[in-house]
Amino acid sequence: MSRRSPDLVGLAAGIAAVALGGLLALDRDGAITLGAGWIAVAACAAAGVVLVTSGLMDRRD
Amino acid sequence: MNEEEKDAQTESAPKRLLRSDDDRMLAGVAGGLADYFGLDPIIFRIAFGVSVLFGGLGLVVYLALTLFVPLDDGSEHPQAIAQRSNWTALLAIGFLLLIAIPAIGGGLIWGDGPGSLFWIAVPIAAAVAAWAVVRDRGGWRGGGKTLGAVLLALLAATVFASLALTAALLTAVGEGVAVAVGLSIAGVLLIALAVLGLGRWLILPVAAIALGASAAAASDFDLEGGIGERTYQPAGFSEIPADGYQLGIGELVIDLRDIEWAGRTLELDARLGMGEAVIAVPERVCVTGDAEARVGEMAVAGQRLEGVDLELPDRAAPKAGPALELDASLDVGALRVVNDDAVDVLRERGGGANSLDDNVLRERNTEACSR
Repeated sequence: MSRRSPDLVGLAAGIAAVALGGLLALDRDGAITLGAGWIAVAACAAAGVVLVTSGLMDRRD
Repeated sequence: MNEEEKDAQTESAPKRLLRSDDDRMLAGVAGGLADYFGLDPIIFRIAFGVSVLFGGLGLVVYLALTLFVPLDDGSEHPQAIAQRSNWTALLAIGFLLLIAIPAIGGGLIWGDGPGSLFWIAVPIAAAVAAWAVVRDRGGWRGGGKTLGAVLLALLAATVFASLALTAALLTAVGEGVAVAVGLSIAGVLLIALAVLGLGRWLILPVAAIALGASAAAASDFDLEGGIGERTYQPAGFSEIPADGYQLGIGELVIDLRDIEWAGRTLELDARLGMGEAVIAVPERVCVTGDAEARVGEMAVAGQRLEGVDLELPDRAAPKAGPALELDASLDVGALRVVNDDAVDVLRERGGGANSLDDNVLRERNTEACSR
């Protein structure tokens, strides 16, 4: 039976989603206060991680 | 033009900006820009991705470049007109809808009338662009399947927009923790599927939830208090809640003209997330206190402000006489405080309050506050 290789883009997106979700949960709960600037930075970082991974995967292919 | 002529022209002519045919994730815009400027396409992809998060400017630029920059035919020449005319026309319609409808309406997102069609124009434009990309990639070339492809793309764009909007609204009404936990759970599911080499499609819905939740959390919109039309006409001070009145989305009318004011000062909190709030007081009551709005319009006893980050200067309360000491905040919409005994604020849901003369209200309030 053939086995698929892991999808690194999906993996990066999942990790980014977990991290961003955790930060937002802490912020909404009041445990930390991120503010608009840091939320924007976190969201951009999450998007950036996925795009960079995707770009690197495309290059490897 | 044969290949030799093309090559000769390529050597003599300056390099032309073309969308890349072989280095592309969507429409080849980033790949084309990278080739033109001699940079890594990742730079442009990240720049587009990041710029979309700030007002959607990157989306408009990307669509414009997709529309106006021709696709490379594989030999550093633009694709022939005949090959691109069909989808270019459709893409042009979507792009013009995106730009023109909000402009005609006079309001980008929250405007009345045609301006509110922005939310229809966006998925249409996105759907047409998605369909164009699919055609570029060689899928759905059969004419009979074109409609199906467009509908599928429209459905996907609508689902994405709906998910983002739902996540934003839930976050804004105080369910931010649940949305964030849901995002993390979706992320875990995505990781599990990715390890098995599956589930890349799940990235888009997860991205939509992340986008909506992040935007709502960053803007810190407060839509707690529910949705709907609320009218309050307290007959006395005792009927006014200590924490004031609060509404998430909708129309809030607070009519304080049935109260026996005597010489008292009423401290009133009023909060509205999105919509219109009208507060009516008797003519002899001095209106003081703070009022602020993020986006929209404020008219407090004749003092009118419009735009972004509005704040009315505080006014000292009178030494004697009845006064309303206001602490009002509005995220998006209109806030009107009218000091008029006759206007019917309940008619047309407060619309009558907007027909009063600002000068009259202002002079009336100055007189009431100078007692």
